Amino acid sequence: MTRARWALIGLAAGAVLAVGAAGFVGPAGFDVPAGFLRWSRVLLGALAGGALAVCGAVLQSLFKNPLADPYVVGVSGGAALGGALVIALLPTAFGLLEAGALGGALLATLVLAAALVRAPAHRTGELVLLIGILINAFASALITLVKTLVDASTAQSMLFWLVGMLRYPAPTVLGALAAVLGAGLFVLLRDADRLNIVRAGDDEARRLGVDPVPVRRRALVVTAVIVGALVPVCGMIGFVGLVVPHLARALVGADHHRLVPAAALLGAALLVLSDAACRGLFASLGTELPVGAITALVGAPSLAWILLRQLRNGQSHA
Amino acid sequence: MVKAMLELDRLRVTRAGRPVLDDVSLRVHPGEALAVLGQNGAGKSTLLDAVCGLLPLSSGTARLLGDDLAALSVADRARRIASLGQRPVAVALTVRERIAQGLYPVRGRAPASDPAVRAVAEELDLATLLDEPLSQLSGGQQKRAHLARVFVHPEARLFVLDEPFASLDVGKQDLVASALRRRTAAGASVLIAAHHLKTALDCTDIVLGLQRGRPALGPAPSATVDEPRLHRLFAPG
Repeated sequence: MTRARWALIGLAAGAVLAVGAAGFVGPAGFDVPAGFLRWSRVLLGALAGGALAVCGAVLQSLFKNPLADPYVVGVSGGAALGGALVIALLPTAFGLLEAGALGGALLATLVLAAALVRAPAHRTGELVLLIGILINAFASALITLVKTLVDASTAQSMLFWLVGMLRYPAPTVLGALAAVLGAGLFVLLRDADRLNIVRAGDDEARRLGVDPVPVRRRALVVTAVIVGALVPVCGMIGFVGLVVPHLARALVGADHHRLVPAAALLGAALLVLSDAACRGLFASLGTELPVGAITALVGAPSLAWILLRQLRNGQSHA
Repeated sequence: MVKAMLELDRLRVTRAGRPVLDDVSLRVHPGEALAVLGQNGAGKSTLLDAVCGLLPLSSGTARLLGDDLAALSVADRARRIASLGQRPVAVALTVRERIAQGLYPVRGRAPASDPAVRAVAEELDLATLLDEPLSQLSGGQQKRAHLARVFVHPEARLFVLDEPFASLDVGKQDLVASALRRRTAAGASVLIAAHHLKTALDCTDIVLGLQRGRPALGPAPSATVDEPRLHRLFAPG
């Protein structure tokens, strides 16, 4: 058995252990959910962490940029804007909030793809970051504008909704998220060989009989749908999609057959443990930290270390 | 009469309205190898990319065993033609995974454990490097891994290689030339663009010289191409 397969087995065991252990970490003082409620939050963390890491791994490969993730390229920003507009203008029931977030994520992806369609291949990596910055700036400005136009309580609920944190989802929400993530993983794993080939460039893909356009389109739609489904449930959690794919690649290599499941398992384990730390470390203060803050605190220096290491070893990021 | 493996008839490719390849006609029969020679910018890579369907033809036709190449799908073309560009990207895969990608056009997947992967790695002296990351290898080793990705193709009728000898030492150039001869001996055809004249002439049957996108030498049998003709092809101006 190869080293990469052992690493995958280790990651699977680690993810199960992390989920099991996190389910027993004490909650914050003022909010004492027990039983299923606490487990629902742990399972949400596993689904969200896995999904964000998979999206990051795929975006980094597609755009040949080590800094690409749903947050950076603007897909999360689009989802946030879509959801914020629903909070401001429409009732949030009947799935409208989720539809708004999904529509925003798809629209941001469409803008990204349209802007890159005529870009020369060697500039895609840098352009995707610039376009992501523009989408995020635009979305952020519009959200700020909307917040100033609505009443204080709506603005407050919008702000609360946007913070990246894990809450206590209903079983139906967990089931829906699991279904979306499962379908996304199925599509991405079925396309694993094609994603490996497209990563080497469009001409190389065509030489190997793969039309890169539908492969890229499928992967982008899967990413947008996953992010659009996640943002209404847990806001914008950064750095998981950025850092975890690098760690997964270091463990199992860049072949998407292994990279996608490895990123899912590692992302699940890390977000569940980060959230457990948020609940456990601040319990004595009667509060808890949003998990997005922990992922950013740990993620930023981790990413700097990974990139420096790759530069030193002359490795390609994707 | 034997059907030509590759038949180009008055091929013309334009870029931004200007011809970069014009009036190129040739025939390569099964078991034959053709070398395209010329200065930098003469149109060698353009010709090879056009044959591989990566560039649209402005006029003329390209046929493979009688079938119009422009009418074939991306997948159909890749099942019949194994090709490599001038500057393949060193993606973050192991040598084994990179070679296995050459099986994709026929198998619809890239199984790294396939015995054909090891066989072609041994043919190009890569067997000890199979599990090394491509990015950690020297330029010449990477080049051989990319070439192995081409040679592993189990059903290719035509091998199209742009500068297959670049970055290789003399011994490794001989390895690649031998691999090409084995493919032609098995009935496939070969089309290469090359700057390594001696090696290219040694392992091909026909030569086509290009100047500013137009034929300036041949197509002629390699054995008849002497130094004065090559000198004229590469003369400045």
